[in-house]
Amino acid sequence: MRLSKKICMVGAFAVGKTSLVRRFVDSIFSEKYHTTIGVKIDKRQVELHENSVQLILWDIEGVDIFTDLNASYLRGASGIILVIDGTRPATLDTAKELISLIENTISDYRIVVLFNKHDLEQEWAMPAALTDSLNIDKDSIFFTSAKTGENVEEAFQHLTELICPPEVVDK
Amino acid sequence: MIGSNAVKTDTPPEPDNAGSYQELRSLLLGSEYENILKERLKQDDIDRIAENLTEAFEKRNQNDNSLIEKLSPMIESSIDLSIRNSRSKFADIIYPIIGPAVRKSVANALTEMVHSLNHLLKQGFSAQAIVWRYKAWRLGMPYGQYAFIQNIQYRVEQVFLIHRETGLLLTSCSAENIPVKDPELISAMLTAITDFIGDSFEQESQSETLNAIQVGEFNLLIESGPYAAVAFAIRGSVHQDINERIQELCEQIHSQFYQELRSFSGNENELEEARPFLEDALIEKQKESTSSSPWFAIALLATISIYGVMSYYQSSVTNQKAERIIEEFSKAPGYQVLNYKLESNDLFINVLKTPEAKPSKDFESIKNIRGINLTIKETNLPRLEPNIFLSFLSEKYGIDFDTSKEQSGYELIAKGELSKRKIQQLEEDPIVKSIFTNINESQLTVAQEKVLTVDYGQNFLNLVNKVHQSQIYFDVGTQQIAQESSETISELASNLKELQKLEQLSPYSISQITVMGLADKNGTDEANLKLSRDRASLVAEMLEANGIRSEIIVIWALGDRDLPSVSLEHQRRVNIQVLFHDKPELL
Repeated sequence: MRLSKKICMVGAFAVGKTSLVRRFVDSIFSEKYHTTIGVKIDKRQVELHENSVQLILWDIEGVDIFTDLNASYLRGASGIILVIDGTRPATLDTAKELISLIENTISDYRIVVLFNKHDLEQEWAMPAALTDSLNIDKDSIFFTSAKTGENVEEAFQHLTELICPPEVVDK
Repeated sequence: MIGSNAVKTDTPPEPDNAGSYQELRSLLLGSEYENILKERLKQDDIDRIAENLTEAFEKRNQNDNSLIEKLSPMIESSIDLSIRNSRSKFADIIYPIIGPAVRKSVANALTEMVHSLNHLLKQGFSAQAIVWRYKAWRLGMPYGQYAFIQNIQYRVEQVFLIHRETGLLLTSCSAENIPVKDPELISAMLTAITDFIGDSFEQESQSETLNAIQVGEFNLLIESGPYAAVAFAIRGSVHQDINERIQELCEQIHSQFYQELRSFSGNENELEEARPFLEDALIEKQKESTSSSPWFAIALLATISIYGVMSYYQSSVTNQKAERIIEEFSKAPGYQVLNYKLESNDLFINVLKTPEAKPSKDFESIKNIRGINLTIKETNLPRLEPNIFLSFLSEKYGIDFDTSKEQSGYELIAKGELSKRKIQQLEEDPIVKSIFTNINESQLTVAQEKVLTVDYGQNFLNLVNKVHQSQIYFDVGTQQIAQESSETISELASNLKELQKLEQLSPYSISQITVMGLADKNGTDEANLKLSRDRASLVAEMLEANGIRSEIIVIWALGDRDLPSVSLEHQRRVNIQVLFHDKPELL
């Protein structure tokens, strides 16, 4: 079976979403789409046992005080990758707001949270208490580094397993 | 007994008596009865079926298709068998159908070929083609593809079926030779753009979505249904045909695959069956071609013709120039052309040259030479070794030659038989004249040209005959040539001139041309004698003026000598008499 799934990558401005996908995806579009229509589409192939799952990644423009998330881009998403900058606690707050927005916009989705920039140990500002405050299953929280590649593959793999039907995952 | 039994067969016998009847029949008729009965029943069945067969078929056909289904394999088998058994008969039967079909097909193919040729020529030679080639080069696209694009009115290059909710690609297809980028990403991006436009301009309802994007000659047409959107990537203008097609396709897909679209969960194979519908939408329309007259092909043919004529003219001019050069070499003293070759504009001449010979660069034909690449191979021959020429002269004249040293130079000794013409040619040969001081012809005999002599002799006699028959008539009492004889006098002069030429070649020699003048019987004898002399003198002068040797012309004034039976107008005349004799020796 060959499946296609829509995944949205969201997060605050400059949390490293684009860096995360740049090394792990196939893309034909330039990053200028972020600044024009606020989203760039990339593709990621994940093998799940004998099945191949194609993740269509909607890398949505970073949210800040000037920019709101265009909720219509979330429509139809099976999975959400929420990225937080581990060195900037403010991005966690943004993440919480985003979670709320997502919950109000779509249903029947799965989410993984990526605390990114984990390679910057000296600047890490995300104690366990904060990460727990997200009310997300711990298995779905990854400490990643776009620079070293730490946990990025695992995060994509985990999300794929979450969104695929049991007959594909358990085979 | 038999009769009563036969009657009773119509009514069923009592069960207890049935066995007895049967037994009685068997005893009386034996097994024959059973056979007859079976045959009769069989015949009855055949008759009954035959009578109702058509109606039965018709009625069954109205009910269902089972009869057709059952008969089809039988009919196919029987046709197959018939064709195998009698191919030629079938060929005869289908010929009236196949023949015109083949002809039509061939005619269409030829027409298409001519138009394709014209089209290719048009693409290949026009100024537009050069511009296109440049543009294609700039776009990094093969010329053929660019030219094709320019020649289409529109072409649906790609068709996408996109899941409305997720933006995921359900299925897609593309026209031949179209480089396809990742359709999954295009599908999602298209959805994103549509969402972006929708949100940016606050569309009131979901049905009000982006349905067209145009970039240059490229158009993207989107038709959204409740569950899926159909997108056409179109090269060229969006024609009404396409608008109708995309709406039709979107409706068709929703109608045929309603359940699949509604429950789509990302399985890419679910909508694979919709692909043929999409492929049917890959339509295209060529630009109206000016097929009325393939003038590009005509222009090409005309150009080829003009080039052919020009080439022929150029070739003729070159040949003439080459001939002039060869002729000048042949005539120039001290040169002998051994051979030459003219290929295209290249003339190669191989000559022998004596030290005294004029340099070839001074030749008139070479001084102003243009359009010919001339190569001259000159072999300089020292005068001290004239023997070198002997083999060449032998080959040229077909006789042996020798040389002997004299005080002033070398003498050429010719040995053998040579015609008079050839001897003359040898004597005038420029190379011979420039190398040898003298030609010794003592060992040379003149060949007799017998065949030619006979012809010339006969021609001579024929011409003499003609001259003798010529009568030049005059007006009454004057030396004015009558109108009717004006042509005779010029013909006479021409014949006598020809006769003089033939004299050289024929075995005869002209002794005298006698011009005899006559007058009619009117007038005195003295006057008539004078008149006849004047008439003869006039003709003699005219002949002399036309190149007849005066020394052989003799005038006779005869006065009136004719019998009365000769009419007066024919008495006033001049006659010519050619006297000739055999030449003492035939040259």
